[in-house]
Formats: sequence, C-alpha cells, structure tokens
Amino acid sequence: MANDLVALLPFILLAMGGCIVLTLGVWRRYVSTWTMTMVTLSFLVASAVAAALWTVPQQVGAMLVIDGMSLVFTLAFTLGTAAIVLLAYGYAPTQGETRDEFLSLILFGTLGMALLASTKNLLAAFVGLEMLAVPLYALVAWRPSRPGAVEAGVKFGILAGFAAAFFLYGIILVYASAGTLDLTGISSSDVEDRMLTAAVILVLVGVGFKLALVPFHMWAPDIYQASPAPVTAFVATVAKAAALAFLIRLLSLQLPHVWEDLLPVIGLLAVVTMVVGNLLALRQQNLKRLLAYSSIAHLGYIMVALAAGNDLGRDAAIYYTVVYVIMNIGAFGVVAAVAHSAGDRETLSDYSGLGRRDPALGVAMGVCLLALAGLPPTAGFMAKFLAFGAAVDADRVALAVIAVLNTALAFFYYLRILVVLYKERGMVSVPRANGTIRIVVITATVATVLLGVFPGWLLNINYLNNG
Amino acid sequence: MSTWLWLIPGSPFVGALTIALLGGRLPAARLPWFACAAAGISALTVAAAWLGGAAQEPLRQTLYIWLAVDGWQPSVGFTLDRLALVMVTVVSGVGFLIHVYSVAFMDKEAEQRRYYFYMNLFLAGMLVLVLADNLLLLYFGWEMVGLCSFALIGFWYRDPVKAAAGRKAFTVTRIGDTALAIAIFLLFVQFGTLSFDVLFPLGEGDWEGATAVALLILVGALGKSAQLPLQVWLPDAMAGPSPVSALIHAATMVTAGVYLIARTHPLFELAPGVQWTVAAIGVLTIVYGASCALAQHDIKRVLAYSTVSQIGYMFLALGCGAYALALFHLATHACFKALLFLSAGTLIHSAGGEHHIGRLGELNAGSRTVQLCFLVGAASLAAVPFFTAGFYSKDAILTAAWVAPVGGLLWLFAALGALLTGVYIFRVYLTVFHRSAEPLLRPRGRLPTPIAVPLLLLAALSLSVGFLEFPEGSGGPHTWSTWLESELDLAKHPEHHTTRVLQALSALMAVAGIALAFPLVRRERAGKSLPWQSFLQTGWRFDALYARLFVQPYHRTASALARWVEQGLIEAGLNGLTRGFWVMAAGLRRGVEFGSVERGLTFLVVGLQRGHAMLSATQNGLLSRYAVSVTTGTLALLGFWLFWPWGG
Repeated sequence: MANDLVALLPFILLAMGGCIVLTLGVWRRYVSTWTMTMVTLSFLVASAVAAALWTVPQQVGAMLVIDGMSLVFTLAFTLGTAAIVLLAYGYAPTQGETRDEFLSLILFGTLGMALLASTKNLLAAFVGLEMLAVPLYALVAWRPSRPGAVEAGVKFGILAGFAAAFFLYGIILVYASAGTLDLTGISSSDVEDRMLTAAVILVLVGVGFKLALVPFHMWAPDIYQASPAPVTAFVATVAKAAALAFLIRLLSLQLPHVWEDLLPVIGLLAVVTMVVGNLLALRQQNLKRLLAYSSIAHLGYIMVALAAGNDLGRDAAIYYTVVYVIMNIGAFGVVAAVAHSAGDRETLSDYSGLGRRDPALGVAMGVCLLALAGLPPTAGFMAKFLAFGAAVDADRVALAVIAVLNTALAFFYYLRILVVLYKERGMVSVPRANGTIRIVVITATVATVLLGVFPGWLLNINYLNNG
Repeated sequence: MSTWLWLIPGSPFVGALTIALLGGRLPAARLPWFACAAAGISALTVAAAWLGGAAQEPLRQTLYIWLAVDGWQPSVGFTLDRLALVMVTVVSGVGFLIHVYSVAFMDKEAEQRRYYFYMNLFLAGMLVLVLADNLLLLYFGWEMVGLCSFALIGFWYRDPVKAAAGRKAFTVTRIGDTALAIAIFLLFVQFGTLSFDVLFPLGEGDWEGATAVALLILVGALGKSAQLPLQVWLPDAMAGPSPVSALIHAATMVTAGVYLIARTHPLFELAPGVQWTVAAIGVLTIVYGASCALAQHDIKRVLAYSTVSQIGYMFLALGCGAYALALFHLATHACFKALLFLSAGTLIHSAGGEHHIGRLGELNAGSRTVQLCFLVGAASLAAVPFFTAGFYSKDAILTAAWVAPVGGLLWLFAALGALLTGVYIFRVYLTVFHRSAEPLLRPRGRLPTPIAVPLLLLAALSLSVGFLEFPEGSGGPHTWSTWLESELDLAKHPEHHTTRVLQALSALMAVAGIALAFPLVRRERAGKSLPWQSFLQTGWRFDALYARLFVQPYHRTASALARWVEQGLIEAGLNGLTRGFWVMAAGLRRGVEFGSVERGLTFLVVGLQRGHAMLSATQNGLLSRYAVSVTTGTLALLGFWLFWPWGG
C-alpha cells in the first residue's frame, strides 16, 4: 500500500497542486501571478522528479502500470507543461490573466495526460482522456471577452464530445467481445471475432480526433488560430502526445489477427493525413494555421512508424512524439514571444525580418523549422529517419516512399517561413521578447539539437519491459 | 581515470569554440591566457593519466555512438594505450609550451582571436587523431589538423605569397588524404568495421588486398609527413608564424604519418614489399632533405628541410620494423626541432623579421640565452654523441637499419644523411652566431618569461630525453622499447661486434659533419658558393618539375578547354542553338505555347494549388460539416476494413 502511494506520488502532486493553486486564488490581492506561476512550476517539477525516481516496471493497483514508456512520457508531459506555463506567464495578450483558474486547469489537464500514459485499462484511459479534454475547452476560450473565444471553446467542446462517443462505443464493443477492459486481459483473450476489430477502429477514431488525423482534423486549424499561443502550444504538443501515448500502448497489444486487418487501415490513415496536412499547409499565410497543418502532417509521419507494426516502429514513434513536443514548443514559443498585447501576429508578413531584429529568436526559430522539416543534425531528422526506417523494415516500402515525398513537399513551406524571417525589406518592429519565453525557446532549441546528436538517450530505454 | 579521457581533446576543443563564439566578449589581453589554459588542462589531464595507470593498462572511453545500423557504428571513442600515450604526451606537452610562447611572440598581432582559435582547434584535432579508437575518427582528426594547418600557414593571408603557401600545403596533402580515405573505404568493405581493436591484429590469414591498402595508407602518410615525392609543401609552409611552424610543421602534425603507420603496422607486416618501400622512401628523403638544407639561406627553410629529412629517419625505422625507435625519434625530434624553431623565431622577431642567415649574422640580434638554446637544439639535431637526445634516437635507428633487406645500402644513405645534418645545422649556427665583425643590433634586455621558459624547458628535454633508451649493447637500460614492447615489437639489431662498429661510425659521422661546417662557412664568407647551389636551393627543382608535369598541363588544359571547348564549341554552339531556338520558339510560341505546353507544364503547380484550395474550402468553420466529416471518416475506415480485398 505504502509502495503504491509512493508510485502514485506524481499523480498526487499534480492533483494537489491544482487544488492549492485554486485555493491561492482566494487571496486575490495578496498573491501575485508570478507567485502562482512559481507554485505551479514547483508542483510540475516535483511531479517530474517523483516520476524520475520511479522503480520500473511495477504495477499499481489494477489499472496502472509503470514502465519505461510511462516514465518517459510523464517526464515529457510535466516538463513540457512547465515550459508552457512559463510561456503563458510571459505572453503579452494575457498578461496578468493566467492566474488560479488557468493554472489549475493546466495542472488537472496534466494529471489526465499522466494517467493516459500509464493506464492499462480502457475505462481509466477514457477518464484520463476526458480529464484532459474538459480543461482544454475552457483553456481554448481563455479570456472569453475576446471575439471568437467562446465560439472556439464551444465548437471544440461539441466536437470532442462527439468523438468521445465513438471512443466509448468502441470500449463497449471491446467489452462485449473480450469480456474485459484490461489491456493485458484483452491481449490474453483468444477471441477471434470481427467485433474486436470494429471496436478497435472506433477507439482509433476517438483517439484520431484528439490527434487531428485526417479526416478527423477539421477542428484543429480553427482552434489553433482562435486560442492564445501558449494554449495552442498546449493543445498541439503535450495534449496530442498524451493521446499518442495511449495509442502506442494500445497498438502494442498482442493481437495478431486484429493487427493483420488494422495495420493497412493505419497505413491508409497515415497517407491521407500526410498528404492532406501538407497540401493544406502549402500556401497558408497564417503562421498559427500553418503550424496546425504541419502538425497534422507530422502526426501522419508518426502513423507511418506505427503502421510498421514492429518494435522499431514503436520506439521510433515514441522518439518522434517526444521530439515533436519539443520542436513545436520551440516554434509556438517564438509565436508567443513576439505577440502584440492585443493578440498574436497572424500572417507571415507580420514576421518579416524577425531574424535580423532579434538574432537569438531568429536562430531558434530557424533551428526548430529545420528540425520540423527534418534536416540533420537536429532531432527532426533522426525522428523521420527512424520512422521511415521502421516502415522499410516492415516491408512497407510504398508507405515510406510516400512519406519521403511528403517530407520534400513540406520543405517548401518551412523554408518559406525562414525566407520571411530573414527578409531585409519591410522589416517589422519587434518588442524585446520576455525573458521567460526566451529561456523556454532557447532550451527547446538546444534540446532539439542535443536529441538529434544523442538519439541514444531516448532509444536505449526498454519501453514496455518485454525483453 | 577513463571517464576523464575526453578532457584531453575536449578542453582545447571547448576552448576553440569559446574563443570563436564568445571571444569578442573576453578582454583582448586575457584571450591568449585563456587559450593557454585550455591547452594546459589538456596537458594536465595527460599527466594525470600517467599517474592514473594509463602507463600500465590502456584506458578506454566511448563517448558517443551516432547511430548503429547493423555493423556500422560510427563512434566517438578514445583509446589511450602506450602508443597513444607517447603521442598525447608529446602533442599536449609541446603544444602547451608553444601556446605559452605564443603569448609573448604574437603580442603585437592584430588578429589574435583567429590565431588562438585555430591553435586550440589544431590541438584538439591532433589529440583526436592520436586518441581515436577507429579509423573514421582518426580521419576526422586528420582532416581537422589539415584545415588548421592551411589556415595558420596563411595566417597573414593579405600577403598573396603566404596565402598561396597555405593553398599549396592544402592541395598537396589532399593527395595523401584522398589515398587514406580510399584505404579506409577498402578496409571497411573488406572487414565491415573500422575499429582498431577488431581490425588489428588481422590474424594469420594473408589478405590479398593488404598490399594495396598499405600502399594507400603509405601515400596518405607521405602527404601529411612531407616525404618524397609529396614533400614540396613543407618548405613553403614556413610562411606561417614561427610558433605555428614549431608546433604543426615540426613537432606534431607532420609526424601524424609516422603515427598512422605505427598504428596500422600489422597491415604493413602483411605486405613486406610496401614496408621496405617505406624504408627506401625514408632514406631517400633523409639525403634529399639534408642536401637541400645545405644550400638554403632562409633560416626557417633550413629547419623545414631538416624536418623533412628527420622524418625520413622515422620512416626508415618504421620500414625496418623498429616502431618503438621511430616513436622515440619522433619524441626527441619534437623537443629539439620545436626548440630550434622557437629560438629561430625569437631571433627573427628581434631582428625585425629578417630570415636570411647571412644578414642575421650581421645584425647579431640574438641574446646569450637564444644562442645557447639554438646550440643545444643544433647539437641534438646533429646527434652529438653522449650528451644529446638526438644521438640516442638516431643511432638506434641506424643500427636497426643494417639488418633490414638491402640493409647496407639503407645504412649508407642514412649515415650520409647524418653527416650532412651536422654540416647544415652548424653552418647555420656558425653563420648566425659567430660573426667576427661588430654587431649591428645589440640584444635588448632580457627575454620575456613566456618565451624564456618554454625555450629552457625544451632545451633541458633535448638533452635528457635520450637517456630513456641507451644504445644496443651498451649495457644501459632500454626503458623506452621494453615499455612499448607489449604493443610494438622490439627492433632487431645486428650482432654485437657489427653493432659496435656501426655505432662508432655513426658517431664519427656526426662529429665529422660538424667539423666540415667550419671550412664551409669560411668558404661562404669568402663569397664562394656550393657546387649545384641553385639545384639544391630549389629543392632539387621539384617545384619546377611538378609545375611542368602537373600544374602547367592543368592550366594549359584548362585554358585550352576554355578557348576551344568553352568559347569555340559551347559558346558558338550555344549561339547557333540560341538562334535556332529563337526561330523555333517564335514559331512554336504561336502554335503550342499558348496551347498545350503551358497547360501541361503548369498542370502540376495548378494541381497542387487546386488541392490546397479545395481542401481549404472544407475548412469553413461549420460545426455540422466537421461532425459529418468525422462520421464519414469512421464509416470509410470500417468500410475499408470490411470490403478491401485483404481486409475482413
């Protein structure tokens, strides 16, 4: 029992942090935004430390399993959220408004993510998914007085509820077919009916909505554009990674007959997602929408790794997910750094000459973009290399070729942003970016390069403890 | 201790990076000392490695494996065995002393940041080269030192002659580098690995490719170490600052070829013919370098040819299987040649940049200390018996050469070289320092400490290092070669009596050479020059020969191509073509361009744009449409699974 409590410490800390921050909000006059941010950060970091001290592997109760994968993802979620909290603190449009409610919502959302990364029960996964989703509705509509904010929140809420229905229906079908909701139980049940496959497809739809896979992607650009940049970063990076963590765990089940049918479906999803995501990004002039579309395309690449259906693909997907979180935090951080006090800079031309005005941010954005495009020595290259390598390894060469062609297509719009950043004519004036945001952006940039040079840090982990 | 191994090359590397990135923020006066500290930490780590047991057991550290694909594991790993320990001690020790010397020597230079950046980077590259546990990393270091050598020779790049010297060094060594790269490819194709541990020993089985690979490695070594026929770049490389000549073109980089062959010696033992070639090239280069040094008037060029000749001794030792002796001569040579360069540099500095030995003698600007140091260096180079390190290292190589195939001939050449060495170096010493006439420039004050300390330390080393290895049959200890025996086999020496005779003869040669220098200098003062003066002074006219054989034909081919092919054929052809196309285009324009071609060409672009536009149109913000899309997608997935041929 005591052991279980120790293992649960990261979760307990997050929940406690949320409650404490909420309580601090009672003394509105006496507690500054800075204090609240620091309290939130310390709970996030404490949770990360507690997670880092986990003994892996172990099972906690009937619903949680703590292994290499939950360790890596919990660390990524808590630290990534810490970065986003810092972004929100320095973000000009919501200056002084990211207080108790905002921060507690973020902490509860993180708890949901941590749950998703460690659960081995479908019902617990659903709880985690909703614990993450409900705070997001409110976060997307942050500063409800802003035009369009409430609309975005409601839109997101309705659609997410709609997708959750598919997920729930899938769970019910799983239970009807296998008689259990426990992942190890499903793995060991030897049912061979097609209902299980249909059920997994429905679960896939529910998760696919969170991941904005095509054709479940349509909410993403609207929501990304409508929310403040730090929230966009939250939705686009860690929140997606949480859903991915669950998906990766789901796809690691030992159900050969199901995967035989499903891997082509996942491959199809990957192809459609890549192509549509890249085409949508191609001539997009709004930077936040562009990043939204590019993140759709990136999820497509991750699906390529998962469609390989082997251990290499799983490791590649985990690596890709972590790298995806880091490089997108860097890119959205730059967007947050140069926001006007009235709102984000929207169109690309609002960024022209940024790299000349502020070299540090320019270089950071350049590195993050090249990483997104997949150039060595950044981690973005290594991630694509591993993902496509896994596909080739599984004899899905056509998939890998399509993915590589898409990468080439993607260069066009990433490099276009770089050109704008270093344009000499029509340079915009940039206020000196906030120090906290600067730290986040530079840390993310350095991490992007370091993970590219030392991929072994993430690759030498025994994720699922299966030899 | 193993965990700190990375610090040896890492500290100068970080130093170089810091100077490059943040050098502007350091106060200019601190910059040189910062670079020295980086070199010093490296030297201290080497000292700690000696104490920490590297002298007994090899230390290993793998820093990082980039990506492992099957057997292909490019790693950054270091092995500090005894061979590497000798090299890192020489490199980091001499490197540190020369960094300190530079503080005073480069005092007045404007662009110190660039200088120290390349010096630190060079040191890092050289240490990577000798510590690397695989050929790929070795090659990385090899290229890094080549780059730094190029940049430092051309340090004063505003002088076109000096910039050209840098380019020449880079181009000539590139021939060797390419050969080495091909050798590495061949080894990888054959063995699937480049790690020294796996590659060597090659086992008993004889491998047919060994000859080719050994030959290619030899060419690589010839280029870096300036041996015949790739020696032409080294004398010109003296255009760089004197500390650079001392560090790169005397003590360390040029000996990289010796290290390379010593490291890959199992390969050469599989190809005895190539190994004998190493010795033969060595003796030819000895005589070549020594004879050319005789006729030079530029003090640094004398030393450059002397370096060429001395490295010849190391190659001779390698060719005779006396690897430990080659390394021994490498170490002593690093000390006395660095000493010679640094004292010559000081002399040139105080004489206001004068290089000509005759005029240096008239100016007589050297202080007593400099004269003493130069004398010690010269004596060690000339291998004055019993006192000097050069005697112990060179003498051992000569006796070992006797037992090699055709050993008599090899010995004869090497002994001739020893004679000439005494002549040329004491010719310089006597001309520069022993001038009866009244000196024009009085030496000014004491030497600055950063110059005096390295000079005196190197002088002490040039006298004492030799006692590590007493001559064969003398009864003295053979500390050096027995210590290295576990990695490099002992050298073979002829039987007792022959050894004695040979030793006596070679000692005699050295003394005779010095004696011959006196009448030679007297002759020169009288205005008579050597026979074949200009032939020797131009380095046996190799430059002219290569210019005639390679450079001029290349230029001629290029200009012929430019004139005939470019202007005559291509441009004329193009003009005709253009005119033709013009006419055709005008015709086609009316008919086709506005019709099918344009449509066809822009099809792709429009298609992509259309795709973008169509998909964008779906992003209309209508909630119900989005929900429909989710539902349709679900149905499509289920349908795909149910009805697709391989589904269900």
